[in-house]
Amino acid sequence: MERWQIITLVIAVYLAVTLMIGLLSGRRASKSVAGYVAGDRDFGLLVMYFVLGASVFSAFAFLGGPGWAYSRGAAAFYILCYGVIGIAPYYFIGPKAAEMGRRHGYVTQAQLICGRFPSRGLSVMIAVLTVAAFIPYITLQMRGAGIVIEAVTEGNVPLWAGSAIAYGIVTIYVLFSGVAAVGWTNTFQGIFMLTIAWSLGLYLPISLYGGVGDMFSRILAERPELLSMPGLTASGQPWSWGGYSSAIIVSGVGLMMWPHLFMKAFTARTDDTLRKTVVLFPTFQLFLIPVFLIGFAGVLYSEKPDAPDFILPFMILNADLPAIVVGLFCAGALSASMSTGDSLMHAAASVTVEDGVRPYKELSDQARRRLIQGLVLVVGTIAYIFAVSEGVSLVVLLLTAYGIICQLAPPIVAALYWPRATTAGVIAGFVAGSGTAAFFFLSGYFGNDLRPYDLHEGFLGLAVHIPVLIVVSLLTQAQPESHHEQFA
Amino acid sequence: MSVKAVRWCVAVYMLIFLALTTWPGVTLINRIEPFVLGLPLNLFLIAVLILGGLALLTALFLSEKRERP
Repeated sequence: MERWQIITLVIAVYLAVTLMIGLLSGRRASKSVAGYVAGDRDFGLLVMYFVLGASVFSAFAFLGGPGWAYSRGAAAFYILCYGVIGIAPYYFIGPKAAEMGRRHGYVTQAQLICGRFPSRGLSVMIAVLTVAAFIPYITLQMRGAGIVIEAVTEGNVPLWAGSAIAYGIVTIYVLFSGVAAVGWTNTFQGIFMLTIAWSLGLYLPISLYGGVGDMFSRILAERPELLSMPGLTASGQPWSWGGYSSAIIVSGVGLMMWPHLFMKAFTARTDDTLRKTVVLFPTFQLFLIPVFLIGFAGVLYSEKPDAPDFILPFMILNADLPAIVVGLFCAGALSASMSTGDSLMHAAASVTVEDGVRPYKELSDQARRRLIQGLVLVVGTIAYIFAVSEGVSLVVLLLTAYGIICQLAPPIVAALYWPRATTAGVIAGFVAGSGTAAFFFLSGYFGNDLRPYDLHEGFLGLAVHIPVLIVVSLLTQAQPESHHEQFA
Repeated sequence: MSVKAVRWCVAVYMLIFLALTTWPGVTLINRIEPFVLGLPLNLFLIAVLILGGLALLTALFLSEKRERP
């Protein structure tokens, strides 16, 4: 048997196991919407931990992280920094949102916001923006899976087929088992990824340079600019402090506002489970360090991959490892892509139905569940079309998506903690913030970058959003006490 | 320590974390040498900051748990 065939076989076994776990996990869940979207609010600590962790350990972290360390050096450190500050507020917000979910029957974030600030328009606006932010994110994960498969099979399985196979499997288990499948497959995939990140992250520097310290000594001697923050930009110029710092802040604010993560507050069995998950979350940031080491190991390597994002499969294939080990490593990289992609597809479809359709048309529980399942297929197909068509700059789209998503933070905080906030204030703030972010994004996109100090457009959006929310709320009539007390 | 005190500690720590990882505070930790455990000093210090966050969040959880019946 040829080398690539053994690798393909290992990956096939891995995919089969994932599919089996995904299908079996849904047997216990109820057939209701709460069962399909919120797992009957019955996720334990192990599953919650890996659901959040695996969602973070996406194709972006697993392929993009080493890619950044490889091409942009210390710029990648920003990815380590935002996790802790991003998750800490969730320690308080998460359990409170979960309480509201139990009290009022919410399964999505927009339901929480629009419960406090009743407005069908706001609900639809959030749904549309969320899905718009999700599509490039899912596309990125699909491409990631395709890239890995194409690379390790030496092109025998092309990108379009690799993406189709991996995501065909994801679609099947998400359709049948809903969020329960997301939870259990993420647990399996999470354990898999961590093992691989650590073993490869330590193996490569040792085998190529004699140790981690020796590797960095040589990088310091030959490419010192890579080790000093804020690192480099994609084109190899020094990155600005404004860009680096605002990337941390926007990602920190946006982290838990991604609906596929925030909605998991409604899946936890108890508030303590949710709190424990938050407490343990920083461990996932530490797991990123070996992933960066993989990228740094490639810096002084004589050959180069086609693009920085290919550095992980490239290093694996060039490391002179037995085919079976290479297969396992690639399965780990696939895990990273699929474990985020499943969560995203599921959340995108749930949000569309619960927030975009339900406010206008009362549907039975069963009809809603069916509609969500249908939309999983639609969302998957759209993302797949983008994934196999060349020429779409995904990273640019994803960064903008973060700019949109972090605009969900002020309404959530206002809904839970500020009794004086009004519907008009929240809508005005949301529109102004998203508009500002979009304006600065487009200014850069059309070649005339107006952003001051290279600040992230999401950060600029927040700087407009928050004052507008406060001022308009204070200028409009306060909500009756009986209403906002339900959210105290 | 009371739960309230621990909560304040966590909040203050997160602000310090933010200050030390963004400009201008980050320039204080932005040194490459000496290497610690094989890692450049700046990367090592970020790892220490993350561990500190982990420890404080654990402390917060434990102290809250003690308070609750």
